[in-house]
Amino acid sequence: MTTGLQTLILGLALGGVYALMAIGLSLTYGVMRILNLAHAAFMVLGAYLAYWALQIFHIDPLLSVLINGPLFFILGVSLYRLLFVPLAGRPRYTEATLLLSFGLALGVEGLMGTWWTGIYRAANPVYATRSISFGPFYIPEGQLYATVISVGMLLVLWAFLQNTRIGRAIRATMQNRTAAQIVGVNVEGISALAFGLGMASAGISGSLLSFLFPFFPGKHWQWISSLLSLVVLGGMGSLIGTVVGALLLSVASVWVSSILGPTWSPVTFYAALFMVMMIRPQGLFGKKEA
Amino acid sequence: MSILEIEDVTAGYGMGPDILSQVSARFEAGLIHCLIGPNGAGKSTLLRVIAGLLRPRSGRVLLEGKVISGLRPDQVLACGICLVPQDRSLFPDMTVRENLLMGGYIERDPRRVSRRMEEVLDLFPEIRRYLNRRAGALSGGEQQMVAIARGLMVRPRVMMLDEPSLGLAPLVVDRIFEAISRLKTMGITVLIVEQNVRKGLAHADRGYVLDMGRLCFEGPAREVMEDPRLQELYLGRMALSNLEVRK
Repeated sequence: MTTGLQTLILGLALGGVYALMAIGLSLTYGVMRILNLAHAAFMVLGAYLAYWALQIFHIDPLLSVLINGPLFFILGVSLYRLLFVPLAGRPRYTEATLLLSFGLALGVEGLMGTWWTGIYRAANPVYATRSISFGPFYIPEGQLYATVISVGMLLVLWAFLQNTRIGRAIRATMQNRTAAQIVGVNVEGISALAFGLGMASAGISGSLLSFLFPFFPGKHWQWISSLLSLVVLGGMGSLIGTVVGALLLSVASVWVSSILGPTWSPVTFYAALFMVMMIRPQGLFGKKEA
Repeated sequence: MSILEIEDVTAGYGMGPDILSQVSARFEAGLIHCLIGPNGAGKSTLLRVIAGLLRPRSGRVLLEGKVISGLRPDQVLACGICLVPQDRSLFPDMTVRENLLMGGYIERDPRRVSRRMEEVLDLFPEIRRYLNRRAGALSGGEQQMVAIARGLMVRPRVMMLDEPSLGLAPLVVDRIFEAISRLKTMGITVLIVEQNVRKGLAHADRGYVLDMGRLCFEGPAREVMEDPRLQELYLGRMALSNLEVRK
């Protein structure tokens, strides 16, 4: 019972971060059917920036969230306008953007390798190795902060999508792009905004990743596969599904690692992916493709 | 006085053939215009061109003498032309209230949007009952009503409805056409594309007959209905398709 609860605590503490990591992927896919394979590469880039901000300027990774967020937002909007807009209207748009984002991932990985070599890094602010215990339970302090920030960011995003005019337009575009055009939504503008928001979530979760997990330039391949697994589990294009998928899979992976050892934990994601594909291909909250 | 003018419009999709070839037509302010014609005649395409969803290959669309072809859909909407497409294009996972709010998207002032929503709900009081339901969960007739109401959120001068009666029970169709008549009393110019020729023309002031991407003829709705060319166009083909069915 105690170990079960402890597993749940550790799982949920990571789940919030996974959810923030994946929400941008889900948003970008939902609004414009772009599966951004470079999402995790930008997360790792965010982690490097947070790492160097701490090393050189002594800026705490929790604070560099405030830098990475806007920085990656601007980067996202520019990349979208520069690279993705010219592809718009092409007959094989989704396939073309998939290849483009794959190329972007390789490019970002290459740049990071050139600038910062391939060695493992991890930011180590004081709280990275501490943990807080209450009764028989404990929670690593870094994970606690990261999850609190992630959940906060997700709540801000949720409130924005639910209660603002622009947020509603984003949801409308996700549900029916033509209908959004018909009511006067400038869907290209909304797409650029959504891509920017997706990238901002990558930058912010990069800051958190920097002290939670060791990273090197090629690490993003492992991340993108895990994130895709949980997005598929939740249902492609469903934001709620992504959050639920993240929480479920992170608890599952912590549980698997407590039984079989940490090497088995990443396998949880792929096992779940296969199971979803066989049992419910549209995911938990997804709709069947028409 | 004509409010909307189509001049020699030729249009098609992607690299495909011309769906409309050199169509010219005038639509009069405050009247109900019914566009009819067999499947594939280009009726919906014409509406898409007017709404700015499809750029014409040549020709122009003018609203009160001002060229609007080439504008983005949101800019056309801001000029006062709205489209209720064939599939109704509601946002299925949003509530009816949110759908109406989205209808007023181009208006930035939220107070004006909510005032407008009250006006629309006074015009279509039946919608109040399901304001908080998910649009995707409504019946076809209810969805059509919401789609029309959503279009009204921008106080349009021209409202285009693509097959508003499609897939609805006869009783419901009557309610929709009654709602369309209400649009006319509000001074809105209406363009309807209709498969149900008799019903469409019966509620319209003018009829326009399209075939194979060309405007065959037009005139007062009553005259169009009795025009032998219409009989020929429809009955000729219908007889043919019935023969095919029998085989």
